[in-house]
Amino acid sequence: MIFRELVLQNFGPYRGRQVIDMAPVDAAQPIILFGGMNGGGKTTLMDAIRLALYGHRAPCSTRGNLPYKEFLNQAVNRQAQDESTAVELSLQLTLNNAAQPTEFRICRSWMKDAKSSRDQLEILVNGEPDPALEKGWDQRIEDLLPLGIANLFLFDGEQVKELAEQDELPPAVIGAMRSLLGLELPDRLSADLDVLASRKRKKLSSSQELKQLEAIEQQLDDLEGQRRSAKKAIAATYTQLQIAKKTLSETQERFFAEGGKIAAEKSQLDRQLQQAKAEAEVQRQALRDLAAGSLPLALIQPLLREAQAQIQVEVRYQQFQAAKDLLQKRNQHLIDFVETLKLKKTAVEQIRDFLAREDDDLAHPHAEPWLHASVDHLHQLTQLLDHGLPAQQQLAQERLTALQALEETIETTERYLATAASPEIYEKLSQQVDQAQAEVTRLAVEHEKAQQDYNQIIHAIDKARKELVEYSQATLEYLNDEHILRAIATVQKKLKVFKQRLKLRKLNQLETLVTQCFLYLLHKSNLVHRVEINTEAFTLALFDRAGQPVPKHRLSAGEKQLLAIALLWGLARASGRQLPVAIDTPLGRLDSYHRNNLVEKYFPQASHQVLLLSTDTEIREAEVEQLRSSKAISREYLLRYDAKQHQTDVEPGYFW
Amino acid sequence: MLEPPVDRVRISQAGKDQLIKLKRTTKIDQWNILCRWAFCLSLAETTPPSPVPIPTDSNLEMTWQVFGGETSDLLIIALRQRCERDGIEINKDTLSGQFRLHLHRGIGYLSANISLRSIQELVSLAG
Repeated sequence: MIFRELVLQNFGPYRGRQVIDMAPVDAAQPIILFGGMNGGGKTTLMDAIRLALYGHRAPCSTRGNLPYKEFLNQAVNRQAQDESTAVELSLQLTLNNAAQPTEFRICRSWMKDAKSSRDQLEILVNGEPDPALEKGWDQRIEDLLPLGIANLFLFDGEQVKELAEQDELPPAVIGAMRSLLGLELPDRLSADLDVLASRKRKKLSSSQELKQLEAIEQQLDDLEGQRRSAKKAIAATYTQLQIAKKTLSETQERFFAEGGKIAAEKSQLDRQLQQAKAEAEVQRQALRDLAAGSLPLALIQPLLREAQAQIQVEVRYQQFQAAKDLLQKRNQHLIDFVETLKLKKTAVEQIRDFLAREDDDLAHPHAEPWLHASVDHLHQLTQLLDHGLPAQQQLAQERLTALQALEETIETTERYLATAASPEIYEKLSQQVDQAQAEVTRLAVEHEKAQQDYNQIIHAIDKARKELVEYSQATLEYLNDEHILRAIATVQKKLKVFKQRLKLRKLNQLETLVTQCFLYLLHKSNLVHRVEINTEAFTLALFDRAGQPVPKHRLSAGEKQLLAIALLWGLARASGRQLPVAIDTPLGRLDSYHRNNLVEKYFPQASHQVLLLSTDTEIREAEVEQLRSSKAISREYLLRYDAKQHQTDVEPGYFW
Repeated sequence: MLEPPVDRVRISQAGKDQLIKLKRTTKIDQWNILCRWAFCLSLAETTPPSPVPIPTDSNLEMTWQVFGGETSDLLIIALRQRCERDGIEINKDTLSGQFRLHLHRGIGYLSANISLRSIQELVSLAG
């Protein structure tokens, strides 16, 4: 960054419009030298730069605790009541490695006792007004040249004196150091994160929807639990139901298999039994019919045989008796016929005897007849004995055999039916089927109920989900916020570590640079070997070559001042920023040796642009000649104060 | 047609009781049939019946024709032949007596036969 031009219009002692070109001629001549007596407007110049850059935030020397408006009123030149007051600063810097440097022109103007409490700000970028940048300038300037570090680049001899004399560094300097070293950044980030976190937290805690959301989520969780248990219940009842159904089908199968068999067999057997019994009865009836006939006569067959023979005898006798006359007549005819044959007398006698014997036999039976039966009886008896009885006996035997078979069948069947004990088993099986059926019905109802419960829960879950969708945006934000909150905590922790490490690193760097600068300026390397900076208080401690601490009071006032300048220089270098350095009355108490060192070694190298504001007792003729001879000076200005007019004019040139 | 030994067959009370039992076991509900069997059974026995007095103290009686049925003449012949074999003089009184003795002895035999529990056993006797 280079300050190109400063314009002062009715600002403090500067009357009218005065333009100061501050651009170095080239990089080897960084010094812009301002000469001015005390009260001549050197500090006002510094204030003008600060005011231009920072506006109401500017830490101007004369402001103190004044409100900004009062300060602005005070800054107006006393002779310029009706004219506007303005400061303009033109600065040039290369942004983000751009090919050409950008030129910003900051114009602040105000009227005394204006109604507006603020100044009018106008920003020109490369000559063009940029209204957007005007609004955000306070932020933009923090990027370019933070207010915190401005004090260390735009410093005056008073500050250096203070720095040199105080054991403890003032809080402003410490702040500036922190800012310069970039240590402020983690703090600011941390603070921003805190703000963000509290904002999010507030949002979270104040969100009614969120509470509802949590309630819904809780409800969903509960419902999900209920759903799981309901599902389990369904599964359990289903399993039980399946088992019961299986049992039922098994018992039914058994019932149909065994019970049905028994039933079928029983009726069949009963039918068979009835049939057999009926057949047996038929057979019995047939036997009875047989018994009613002539069958009992079979018992007395021998007797009847005897009677038959007797009847034959008796019938023959009767027949003989009936045919007796006829036979005698025939016999007589026969004898007559034989006598005519002229046979021997003895032969005829023999025939006659034979016939007489025959007749005699027939006429006299062997015993008296007792049966007195007829031929019909003989026929009846013969028929009965030869045919009737055998047939009937055979028939009876067949019937008996059949009956016996039937009776055996009946007995077997009856025994089977008796031993089968079917009604009990049938009853038992039937009972089992009924029980299994009842169990299936009960479990089916239970299962149905479980299913209904489950469906209700599902319905409730759907409802809750729908509600949840309605709050989905809130959920996302909620989750996002929560995530941010968690992330913030993590980042804060890491920031802490980062800060610590950064501090150590930067301070180490700073220590080295300050030591280098100090030793360079001091030229008394045997006294101090090393400068150490306390990480908490930022106090400087000195150590000699042996590593022993060197008490600060052993340093002379000049040495202290050099130390302070070394600190500022080191800081500037440690910051890594290419910033102009403005030094107001820097050489207050230095002896010629130290003064020489500064002039020779510090000013030409402090930065690429060094605004040097000096009285005639500080950069004296000798020093200015030294600087001029080393070609370190680009421009020289003299701030000439007119005590009568109470105004200062800027003129080129120096006191000498 | 032969002359029957009795015109009416009369049964003693004891015989009737036994016949009632036989009716139950054989399910033959006609007295005459059972009596025929009893008579024949006794005739088949080789020993003559003991001459015991047989009262006619029941109300059970039937005509000879009812008793004998189709086989009545043969039964008469059998009785006569039996009497002849037993050496009993055949006249109306002896035939009547023998008939009653044989009938009641047969009824006794039938009812005393403990193995006779149905019609089969009765018919089996004629096997």
